Amino acid sequence: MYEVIVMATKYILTFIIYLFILKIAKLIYIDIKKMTVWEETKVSNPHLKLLSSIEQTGTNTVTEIFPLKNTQIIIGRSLECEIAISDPHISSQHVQLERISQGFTIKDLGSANGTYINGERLSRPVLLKEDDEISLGITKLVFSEGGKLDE
Amino acid sequence: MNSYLIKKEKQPNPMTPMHLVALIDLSLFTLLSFRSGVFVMFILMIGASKVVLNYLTYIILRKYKMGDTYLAIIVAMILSLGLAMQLRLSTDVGFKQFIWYLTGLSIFLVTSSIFQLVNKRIRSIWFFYILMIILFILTLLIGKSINGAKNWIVLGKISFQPSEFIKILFVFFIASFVSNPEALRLKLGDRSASPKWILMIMVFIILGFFVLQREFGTALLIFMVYLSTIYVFEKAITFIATNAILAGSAALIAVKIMPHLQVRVDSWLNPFADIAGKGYQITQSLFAIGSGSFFGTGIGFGYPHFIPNVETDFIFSAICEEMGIFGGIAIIIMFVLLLYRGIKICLGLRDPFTKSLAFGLTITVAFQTFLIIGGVTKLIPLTGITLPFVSYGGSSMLSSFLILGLLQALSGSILREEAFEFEKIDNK
Repeated sequence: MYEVIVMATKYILTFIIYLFILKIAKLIYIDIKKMTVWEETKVSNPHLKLLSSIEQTGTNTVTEIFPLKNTQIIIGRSLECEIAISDPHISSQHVQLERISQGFTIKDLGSANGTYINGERLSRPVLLKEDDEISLGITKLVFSEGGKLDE
Repeated sequence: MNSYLIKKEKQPNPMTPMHLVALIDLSLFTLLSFRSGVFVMFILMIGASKVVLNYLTYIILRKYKMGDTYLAIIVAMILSLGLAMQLRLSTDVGFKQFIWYLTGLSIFLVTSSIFQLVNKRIRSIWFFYILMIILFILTLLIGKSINGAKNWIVLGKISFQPSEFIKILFVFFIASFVSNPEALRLKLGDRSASPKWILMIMVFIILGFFVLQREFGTALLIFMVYLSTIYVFEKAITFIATNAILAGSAALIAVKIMPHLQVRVDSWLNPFADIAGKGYQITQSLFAIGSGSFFGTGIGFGYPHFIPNVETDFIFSAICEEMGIFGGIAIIIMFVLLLYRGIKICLGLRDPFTKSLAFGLTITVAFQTFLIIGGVTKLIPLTGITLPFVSYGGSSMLSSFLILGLLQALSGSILREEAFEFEKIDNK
């Protein structure tokens, strides 16, 4: 009797296990879909793009996108900063971005290695324009007003 | 800005996988309780309590917003198959495994709750290293040798394997290095030694300890975790190559010197040459997997006891025999799903320490699974490592649940961070 039941159920059991796997896999799919939507909402607002430091060629690879949500954003190596970047050449509190009516200004907070906007050393607060390249240490960030989707 | 996606929108009902696990549990344990002809209530009780605990864990995780619920659900399914197999092998062993499961589950819940309190305080790299060394010395002094590996500490009735916990400490150790490499910078006069090479020396000392204890499997596991974490978190290809070559040559020399290792390699290359002696274990394992065909022989109709160490190392072969290769593949896929959830947690973390902690823990479980399933199927030489959550063994279960608890705690912290961020947006 036991043998008959086992013979019959082994197919059913396998089926149920794979149904389970399918359900979890569906989750993965939904997760990935959600991540792409999240990315789109991130770029429709002002944000900073972190460029990959490996690619030095023409095409820039964006490693990460930091949305600029607050009125004051400090970027630095310390974990207390809104945007923390673990680059040893960046000071604990390196620059401060401030939201004003015209957009965002950037101010160097007395960093050891300085900040460069489009190659020029930052001495006094400057208003950021679209596609401005901010260099701190060996990290490059690109400012974007958002609102358009690239590619 | 109202264009931010609300978190709870459109999620597949997580209750369905839960119900499926419960279904599998009840079916398997009911079958088992009838196996001997007489109805054994005891076995069904174990099955029922497992079902209750599954749901309870899920409810606790959801209610207290402790992060990703799917980790525990996947593990619940893996445990269903594992516990059922252990009970099938022997009621005694199965019951002990069930007790370990209960202990493990409590450790899991405790860790996921309290980890956030100790998280920021304990980061010192020397703390972890010295703890590991102490455990090693303890094992060397009062350890007992079982099955050729001096890797057990016996306290009265309880024996445990410190190596299972050392591997977790190692992940903390590497995470501490990655988040703060400068802590290892040694200054001699006005020249300073690069932290990476100091790390290499420290790691090789640990590997040396494992080799002394004849725990080659865990040594290999630790080494793989070490290389992967350094590769992912630092850009140091030459460093990794040097390490790999050094360890590879040491391994080759070791195989030539130690007959114990030579046996392992021989029985991997051609177990059928000595089918009754050195190759017995592996050939029986292969026969078992083969006999299972696609859907298995059915629970109770295989011959798992022909394989030595079937409750610990070769449990996967027993599962393949009785639940078919489809059952075995299901287990592998579920571990891959665990790997996926773990990596997702790692990606969602900001702090380098917790990030590499999540990565290291996930990769430990993943590599461990690979090593043992590979060994058992003659893909790679057999190592004395356990299959997490499935192999019989207190230390194995407890350390696996500890890892799960830590991962759960970390995913909980992501949830709290996200909730905090959403609050900031709403309050603008």
